[in-house]
Amino acid sequence: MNFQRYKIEILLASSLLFMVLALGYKSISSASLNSSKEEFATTKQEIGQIVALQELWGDKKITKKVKALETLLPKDKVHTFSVKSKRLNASFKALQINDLNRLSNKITGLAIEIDRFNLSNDGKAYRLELKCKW
Amino acid sequence: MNFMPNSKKGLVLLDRSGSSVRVASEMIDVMLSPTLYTLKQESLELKYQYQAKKLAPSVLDDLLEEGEYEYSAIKEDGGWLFIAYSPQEIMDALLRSGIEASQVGAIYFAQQSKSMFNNPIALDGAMALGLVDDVVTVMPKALFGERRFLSFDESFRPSGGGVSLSIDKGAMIAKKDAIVLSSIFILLGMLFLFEGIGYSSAVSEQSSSVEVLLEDYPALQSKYSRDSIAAKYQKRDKNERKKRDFLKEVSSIVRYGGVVQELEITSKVMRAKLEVKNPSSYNSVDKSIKIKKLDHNMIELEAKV
Repeated sequence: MNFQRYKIEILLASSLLFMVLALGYKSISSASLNSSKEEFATTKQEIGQIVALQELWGDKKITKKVKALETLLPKDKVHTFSVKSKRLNASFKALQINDLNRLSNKITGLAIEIDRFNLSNDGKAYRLELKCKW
Repeated sequence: MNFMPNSKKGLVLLDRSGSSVRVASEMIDVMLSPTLYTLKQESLELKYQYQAKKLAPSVLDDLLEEGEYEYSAIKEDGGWLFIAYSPQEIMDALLRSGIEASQVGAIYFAQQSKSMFNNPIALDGAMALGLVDDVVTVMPKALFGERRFLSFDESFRPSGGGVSLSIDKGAMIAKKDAIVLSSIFILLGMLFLFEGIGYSSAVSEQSSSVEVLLEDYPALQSKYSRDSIAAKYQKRDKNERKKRDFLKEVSSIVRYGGVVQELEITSKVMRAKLEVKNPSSYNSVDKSIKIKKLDHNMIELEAKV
């Protein structure tokens, strides 16, 4: 084949090929950047979310805060109260509506898992059985 | 841009008469006889060839007939040799000699090898090339008397470079257009390439940012561990929010005069029995909570965790 004869066409085709390849490289790089940006944003969001959840549900001072429930009400209303291995077993008796409000507001404000919240009314006062973990 | 091939090809002498030339190789270089160019020697103080080439049209203007010409300038001792040639005339002569323009590589001028013409070279039966006042000239053979004519061969190839035919030699696209288009393609290609390199380096920077971010949280470096930790906390968060929302709903009923009779929350179910004044007015609470009327003043709320 006489390449000399087609040198103009070869030159043109080569430069066109170069342009197409460069365009392809640019497109791939651009797509890769977009995906990388998206990945970064997702990772950042995930980490932010996990950190927020960890801070909320992995509060290191929670045991101290749970123990404070024992002193929230007068001693005669605290029937049993035990905190062991990040678990709370407690029961309260003779609770009036105000006591109950104070106690339930405090419990719901703590980042603990309520395993059992059993409230019963004997006509005059309430009795609460509470099991939680964290 | 120089498209002249480097490899040496066969050299043939081309005259306006276009006498048949035997071509041994596919590609040839051509030496033009003075009938195919016009030249003028001038002792001008010019340093560069492009300056001389620019000046050539005005130097040769008086000597040329109407037509389109290309110009060349060759530096000689004591001045410049200005040459004008018509690509169309050369094409016609090539055709008459049975040579295709696409076969032609470099084009030389006989004047470039003037020393070789000290002995005459026969052009055809009547005419020959010889040297008159240091200029290669076409002359009748008779003027040389009994002198022996040399044959034209490869030794006539000048040491300097030649020119190329600037007209379209059967290409699909004209050379000038091809060069312009190629330049545009290459320019665009370079732009795309630089843009692509920019994007690639931005990707690297982005990756570094992710690494820096993850360095602060080593436990969250893998996607698997992130998903697993997130799933653990999200489930706990969702369930505990449901329990607290249920308690909130119960409190809202109590605030409007309801009295809790029983309330039970476990890890699976949430249930509450309340004494209310008008059970039918408690239809709309949270969608996830079912309300059951037990009797004329009792309702039961139930939801799953």
